[in-house]
Amino acid sequence: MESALFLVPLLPFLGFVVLGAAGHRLPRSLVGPIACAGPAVSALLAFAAFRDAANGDVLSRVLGDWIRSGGLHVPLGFRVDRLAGVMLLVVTGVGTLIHIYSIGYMREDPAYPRFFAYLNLFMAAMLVLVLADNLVFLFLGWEGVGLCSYLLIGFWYKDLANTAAGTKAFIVNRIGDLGFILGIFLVFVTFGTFRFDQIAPAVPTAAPGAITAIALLLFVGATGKSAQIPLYVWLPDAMAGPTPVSALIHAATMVTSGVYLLARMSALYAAAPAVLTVVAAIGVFTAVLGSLIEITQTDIKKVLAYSTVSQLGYMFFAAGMGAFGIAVFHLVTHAFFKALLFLGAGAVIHALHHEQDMRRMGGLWRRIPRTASVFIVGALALAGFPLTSGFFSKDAILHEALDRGLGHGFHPGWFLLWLLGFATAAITAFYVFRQVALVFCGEYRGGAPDAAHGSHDGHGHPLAEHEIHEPPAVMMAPLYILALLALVGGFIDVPGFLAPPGEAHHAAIGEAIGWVLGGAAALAGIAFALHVYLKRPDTLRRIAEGTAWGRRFAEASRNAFHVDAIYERLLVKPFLLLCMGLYYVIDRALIDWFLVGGTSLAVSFWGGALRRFQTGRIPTYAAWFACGVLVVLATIFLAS
Amino acid sequence: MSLSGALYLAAAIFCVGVYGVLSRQNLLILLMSLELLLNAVNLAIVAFGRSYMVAVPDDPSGPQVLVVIVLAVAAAEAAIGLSILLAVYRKWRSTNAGEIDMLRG
Amino acid sequence: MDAITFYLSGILSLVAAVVVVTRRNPVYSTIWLVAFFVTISIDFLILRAPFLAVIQVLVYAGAIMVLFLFVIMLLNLKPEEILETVTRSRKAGAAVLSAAIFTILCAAIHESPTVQRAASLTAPLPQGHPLANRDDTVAIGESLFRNHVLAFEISSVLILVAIIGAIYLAKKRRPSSPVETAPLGPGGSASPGGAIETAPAGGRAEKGAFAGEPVGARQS
Repeated sequence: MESALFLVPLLPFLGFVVLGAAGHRLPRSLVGPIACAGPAVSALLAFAAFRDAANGDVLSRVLGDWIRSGGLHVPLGFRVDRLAGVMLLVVTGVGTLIHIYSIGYMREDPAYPRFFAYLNLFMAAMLVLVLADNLVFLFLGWEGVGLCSYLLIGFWYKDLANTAAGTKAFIVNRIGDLGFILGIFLVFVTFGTFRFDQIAPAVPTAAPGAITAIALLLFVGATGKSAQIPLYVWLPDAMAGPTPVSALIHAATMVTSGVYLLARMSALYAAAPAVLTVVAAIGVFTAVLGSLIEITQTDIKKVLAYSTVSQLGYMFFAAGMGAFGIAVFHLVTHAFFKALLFLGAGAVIHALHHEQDMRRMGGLWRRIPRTASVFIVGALALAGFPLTSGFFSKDAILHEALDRGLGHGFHPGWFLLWLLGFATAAITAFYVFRQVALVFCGEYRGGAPDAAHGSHDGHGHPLAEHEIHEPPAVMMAPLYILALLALVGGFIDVPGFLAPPGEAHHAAIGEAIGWVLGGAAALAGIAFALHVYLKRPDTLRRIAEGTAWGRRFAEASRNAFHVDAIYERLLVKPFLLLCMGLYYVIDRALIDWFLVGGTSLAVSFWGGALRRFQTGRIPTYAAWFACGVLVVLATIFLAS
Repeated sequence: MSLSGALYLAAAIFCVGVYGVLSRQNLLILLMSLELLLNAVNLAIVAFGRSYMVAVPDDPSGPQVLVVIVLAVAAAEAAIGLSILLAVYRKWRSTNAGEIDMLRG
Repeated sequence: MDAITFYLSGILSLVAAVVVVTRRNPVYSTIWLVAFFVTISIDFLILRAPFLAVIQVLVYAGAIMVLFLFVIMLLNLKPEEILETVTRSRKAGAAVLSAAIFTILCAAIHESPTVQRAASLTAPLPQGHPLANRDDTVAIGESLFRNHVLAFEISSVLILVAIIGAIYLAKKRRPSSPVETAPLGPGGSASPGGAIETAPAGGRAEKGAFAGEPVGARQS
C-alpha cells in the first residue's frame, strides 16, 4: 500500500489532464465516468490505507525531492497516519459522491467537461494537502485548492458577478496565505525542517516566543482558508458557483483544511496555550456571528454558507481547547450533513429550474418528498437532534467547554464561551428549521402573478407547481448515502480513534449532562422555528418591523452586519487610493512625463544647442580651433 | 643672447599669426597668416638647433633638416590653399570667409 | 654684435607681421610679408643656419609670394569686394585668444628647465665639432639623405600630390561642366537657414577673368 500512496492524488490529476485537454472532444456520456473514476479508485486506495493506519502503522512514501538547496530540503513525501486516514476517507468518499451527483446536476451545462476537469484537479490538490508529510508540500495542495476554488466559483465566468466572487475568494485567501507563508519561514528558522514528524519531537526544545509566533501565523492562514473572523467574507460570495462546488469545496473539504492544519501541528499548538485561547475565542465568535446573520437570509445557499462559517467556528472552538480529535470528529460529521444539505438544496434548485430565493418556495414536501426527506435528515443532524451525527459531535465540543468552565472550578472565560456556543446551538437549530419550513412546508409561493420575480424555467414563464419534479436517480443516490452517514456517523468514535494512545481525559462533568443540554437546545430551536413559521408567521415579522431594536437588528443581520462595507471603506478604498496615487505619481508624472518626455526634451534641447557649432563658416571653426589649442597648451603646461 | 629670447620672439610672431587667422575674413590674408605661423615655428626650431649644436653633436644639422621639411610642407600647403581659393572664388564670386558657409553636412 | 642684430631684425619681423595681418589690401600684406621673410632670414643667418637663410628667401619670398601675387592678380578684386565685415567684438575676441596663447607660451618658456639650462646662442663651437670647419650645406645634405631620408621621400611625395591637386583644383572649367552648371552661389545654396548677405554676384556671372583670357583683362 505504501508504494501506491502517490496514486491517490495522481489519479484525479490524470482525470484533470485528460478532461482538460480533450474533454470537449469526448462524448458527453464518457466524461462523467472518467471524472468519477479517479476519485472512486482513490477512495478504494484510501480505504486500504486507512485500514493500515488503523492498525497503528504509519504509511510513508517519499517520491523524491522537490527542493534541495543547501539546508533547505522539501521532499515529495506522502504520509498516512490515523488523522490523515480519516481525512482521506472523508475527502475521497464525499468527493466521489459529489462527482456522481454532478453528473446529473450539471447535465445541461455546456461547459460540462471543464467542470469535471476542475473538480478532478481540486481533488488532486486536496489529496496532496492531506497526504503531504511536510509543510511546504502541504502548502502546495493548499494553494492548489485555492486556485480550484477560484476557478470553480467563477465557473460561469460570463457573468462578471461570479468572477468577482471568485477573485474575492482568492484575494482574501491570499491574505491568510501570507500569514501561512511567514509561519512556514519561521518554522524553518526555528526547527530547520518542514517535516511534521521532525517538528513534533523538537517542539519542547524550541523557544516559546517562536512557537507562539508560528502558531499564530499558521492560524492566520487557517482563518483565510476556513472562513473564520476576519477572513470569512469570501464564503457567502462563493455561493455564486455551482451547488456541487459549494458542497464539496465550501462545506466538506477545502474549508476544513484549516482545521486539518491545526490538527497536524497539534504538538506545536499544545505548547502555545495563549494562541489556543485565541483560536477558541475566534471560533466561538465566528460561530455566533454566522448564526446571527443566518436567521434573516433568504437565499437557500447563503443560509448554508453562513451555517458553514458557524460550524467551522465550532471546529476551531474545539481545537482551541486542545481537543483536536473532537474537532476532527465534528469535521467528519459536518462533511456528511453539510454536503447533504447543499446537495439537497441543489436538488431543490434544480427542481425549481434555478430558483434560489426561499421566499418563492414552500410546500415542496408534497412535490418532491424524497428530496425533502433527505434534506430534513441533514437539517436534523445540523441542528443536533438527539442521536444524529451532529448531535454527538457538537455536544462533544460543548461538553468539553462546559467541563473547562465548570468542571474543575469556575472559570468565567470558558464558561462564557460555553454559554455562547450553547446559545448558538439553539439558534442553529432555529435557523435550519426555519429554512425547512420556508422551503418545504406551507403553500407554494412561486409562480406568483408578477412574472418578473417569479420562479421560472428556462423558457421564461413562471413555474407552475405541477411542473416540479424529483431529481434523477444519479443525484438521489449520493443523497441517500449521505443521509445514512449523517444519521449514524455519530456512532463512530472518532475522537477515541484519533486520541494519542495512553491519554485519558477525565471530565468532571458527566457526558450525559452534555447530551441532555445539547438535545434540549436542539429541540427548543426546532420547536420554536416550526411554531413560528408554520403557525404564527407574523410574529417574527411584527418583532422585526415593530420594535426599534428589532428593525435595526434585522436590517443589520440581513446585510451580514455590513462587514463587507466596513472592509471596503477601511481597507479596500485606502488601498485603491494608494494605487491611484502611485499611478499618477509614478506612472504618469515620473515615468511618462519626466523620464520619457524629459529624455526627448533633453535630446532635442542639446541637439539644438550643439547644432549651433556647425555653422559651416570658416572663422567659427578657426575660433574653436584656437580655443582647442589653448586648452591643450594649458593642460600640458599645467600638468607638468 | 639666450635661447629664451629667441623663443619669446617666435611665440610673439606665432600669436600675431593666430590673431590674423581669427580676425580676418579675407582668405588671402588668412593664408598669409598661416605662413606667419609656420615661420614662427621654423624660427623656434632653428633656435633650439643652434642652442644644442654644442651639447648634442651627433646630428647637429637635424633641426635644420626639419626646417627644410617644414618649408617644403609650407610650400605645398600654400599652393594647395591658393588653388582652393581660386576654385572657391569661381563658385561664390567672393573671397570672403564670412560668406562661404557650406562647410557643414 | 650678433645679439643686437638679432634683436633688431626680430623687432622688425614683429612689426612686419603685425602690418601683414592688419592691411585691408592684400597686396600691401604681401609686400610686408616679403619683408617679414627677409628679417627671418637674417635671424637664421645669425643663428648659424646660412643654408636655411638662403632657402627661406628663395622659396618663401621667391616662390610662394610670387604665387600669392599671381593669384591676387588673377582674382582682380575690386575694392568693394575686399571689404570685410568683421565686428569689433570678434576682433577683441581674437586678440584675447591670441594673447592667452601667448601668455601660456611665455609661461612655458619661462618655466622650462630645458630652456634655462640651454647654452647661449652665440657660443662658439668647440674645436672638434663636426661643423667647426665644414660647409653647412654639405652637413645638411648628409643629414638629410642619411638620417632623415624617409622624411625627405615622404615630403617629396607630398609635393607631388600638392602639384597634382593644385593643377586640378585651379583648372579652368568649361561652362558645360557639371561643376559650373549648378547655380550655387551666395543666397542660392540648398542649406536650410543659410541666409547670408549676398555679395554682388549677379552681374558678375561672366567675369571669368581666369577662364583662359589674357592675363590682366579687366571686366567691362
